Amino acid sequence: MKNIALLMQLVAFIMTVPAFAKDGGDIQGGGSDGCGLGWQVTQKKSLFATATRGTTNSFVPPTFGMTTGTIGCDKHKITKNEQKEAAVYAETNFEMLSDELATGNGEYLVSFAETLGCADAASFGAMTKANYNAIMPSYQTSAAEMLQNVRTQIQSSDLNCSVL
Amino acid sequence: MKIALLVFNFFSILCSAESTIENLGNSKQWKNLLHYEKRFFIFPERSLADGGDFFFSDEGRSDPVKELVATIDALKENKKIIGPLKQTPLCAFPARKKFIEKKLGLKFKNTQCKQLNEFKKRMSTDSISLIYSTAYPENPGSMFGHTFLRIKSNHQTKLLDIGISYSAFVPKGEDGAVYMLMGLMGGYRGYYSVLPYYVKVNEYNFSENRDLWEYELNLNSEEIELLILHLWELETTTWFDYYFFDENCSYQINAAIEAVKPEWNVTNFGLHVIPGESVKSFTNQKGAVSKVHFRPSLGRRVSQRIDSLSDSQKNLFEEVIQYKADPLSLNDPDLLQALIEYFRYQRLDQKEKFSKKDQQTVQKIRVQISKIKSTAKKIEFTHNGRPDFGHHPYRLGIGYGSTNQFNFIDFHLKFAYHDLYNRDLGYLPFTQIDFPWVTLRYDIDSQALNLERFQFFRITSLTPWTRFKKSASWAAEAALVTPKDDLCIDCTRFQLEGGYGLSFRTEPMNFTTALLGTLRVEAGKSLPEKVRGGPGIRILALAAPASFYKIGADLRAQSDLFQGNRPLFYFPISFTQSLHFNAWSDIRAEYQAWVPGSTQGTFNRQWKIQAHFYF
Repeated sequence: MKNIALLMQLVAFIMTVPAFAKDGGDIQGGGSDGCGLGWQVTQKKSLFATATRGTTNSFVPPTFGMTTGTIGCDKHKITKNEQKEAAVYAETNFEMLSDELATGNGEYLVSFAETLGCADAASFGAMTKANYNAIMPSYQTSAAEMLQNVRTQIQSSDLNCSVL
Repeated sequence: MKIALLVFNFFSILCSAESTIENLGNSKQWKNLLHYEKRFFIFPERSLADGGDFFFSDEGRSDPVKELVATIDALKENKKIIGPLKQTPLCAFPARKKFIEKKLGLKFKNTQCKQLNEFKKRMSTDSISLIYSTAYPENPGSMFGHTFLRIKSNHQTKLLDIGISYSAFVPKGEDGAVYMLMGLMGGYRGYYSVLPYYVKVNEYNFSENRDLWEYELNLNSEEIELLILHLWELETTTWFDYYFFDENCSYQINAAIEAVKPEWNVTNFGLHVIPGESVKSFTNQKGAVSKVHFRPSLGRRVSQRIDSLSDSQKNLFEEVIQYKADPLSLNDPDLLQALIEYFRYQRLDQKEKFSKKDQQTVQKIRVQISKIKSTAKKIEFTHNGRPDFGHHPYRLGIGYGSTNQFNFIDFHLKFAYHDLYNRDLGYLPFTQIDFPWVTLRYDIDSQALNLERFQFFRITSLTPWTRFKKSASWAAEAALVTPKDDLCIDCTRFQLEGGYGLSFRTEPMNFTTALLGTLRVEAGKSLPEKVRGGPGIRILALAAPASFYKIGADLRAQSDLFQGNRPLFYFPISFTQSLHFNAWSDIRAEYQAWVPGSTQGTFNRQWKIQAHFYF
């Protein structure tokens, strides 16, 4: 009997090898607010993660895959619908953007320029590189502040950007 | 006479219309649009759609002609209210509408479909790609990779494209075992999701460190539009039960594409649909793939970026990450770029635990990068090879060998997928994921056929520990085995083992050594105590001296705690070489020995040569 108990314990231990570790797929609930796009990454690593992810945003009602924004769009001064895209983009890709605004080039920066309607991504990059301190003044600068700073810099430059 | 002719004509028109409908109803594309599938050759053809208002005819699930007739009527009437979006038939089934209009020359009413237009307007019909995300070594749930679609948006840059993925809906906090079982039995519903491609890239490339392979498909804009409309039908009118092994993400994506491109045969799979195999089903079609693009994971970028530094740059790198050097004093763009990517990796890895001090260091690095004029050199990132070039998953083997008691012939069958001595092209190097395999052994001397081993699963993940990235390695397996150390010839025991430790890798030859602490339990009637086992130590040494050749040693010290009077330890060791010819064949030579822990024990050994065919 003792052996069986010990065996069970060993089995239990082996089953907890990371292969079987799991911490639940994360599903964000429905609903929809002003900013709409709840398009954010679920970083939970779950068993069968490929299967669980993305269900977050199945394109069922109410707005086709756009579940709630925990993305913080209320922090952005959005007056026009087309401004949302840049706001959501800036929030979602803030880490990458913070790096690439400094290098002045990169795929994330080029797409950012496009969401702002800037025709010339190269000059946009040169502008952000030259004004990095004004755009990202501290390590605590938020995505919303960054976006606002970028807009301010665009306005005082000769860049041609249509979504401001 | 005239009347007779008229009647005759009328009937002939009616008959030809009937046969047109019958032909169209039985056509491949119509059945594809209804997701008909013939399973395992024996079951009658039937739609896999599991729910909702997907059929207008009561027999629509098994009779495609009746469904076609009922669909035409429903589209003409346009009265029925369908699905959670409460759409009329013309808005709910835009792909069927388009298909029927084109094939029968009909014209249905024009209706405004607000919801559908809202969905459509985000996408262009310029290009579509199948995206393959490589396996995720640290999570067995993603061991086989994943496929999804990318549709061009009305923007120019790729990151702003639209990613469409099919996945199971799993309630939050579902228990692991329940999850596994439900996943296998189709207990979850599958759904499509639509996300900006940058979210998918962040998720795979950055959060999970998986490479992405982008296969641009040769569909014209009419076909892409039909696919978008068809996805709408699927998502707003029905659902499919999600089966992890066969009716999974890759199957459904392929089935949707086959509905708009019936000439491509991309859903002919066996018992399982492995995402890598679903990619092959496209590359096997002539002209189906027009471009292939590789998008390296962040981990790959960082490690190759750091590898490209000189020793003195590496030392300075280390000083910065230990706060000994001030980033504001650096002027080397390559070093700064390596640093910024390294910290990006750390931020994603540590999340909230990423320290304030590191955040300040990152800010300084960024400021410094913005100040210097020169940019970092471009790196051509290397990869493990295109996934569609990888060897096939099923394996048949025949071997010949000898133990110290008898000669034997082995018969081997494996269902999936990749082991430590397989060719690594297209796979994660030195990673093993084996699902059921069986070896039967024919003893030539006594003419008896016995079960040699039935392997339920065996997973080995050897992610190397590096100076800048600290990863663990682990292994787990369950099998019915015929043990060799205690002269038990035709007995079968159940064996369970787990291991955890570290591995190191050095170029060239991908020389990999791993040291794992293991725990093994073996249970069986032939053991005096019915059970034995205990902790052990395992050393693995593997190398690929050439792209077609691998060699390795597996050395173990295994304790035997539940013993009568057996020695406390025994030492199973093995040496293996493999020679790979192509995606469908290799040959292996293996020497195994079971060294007893005391001088009284017997030294048992065996050698074997085995040829494998993959399919």
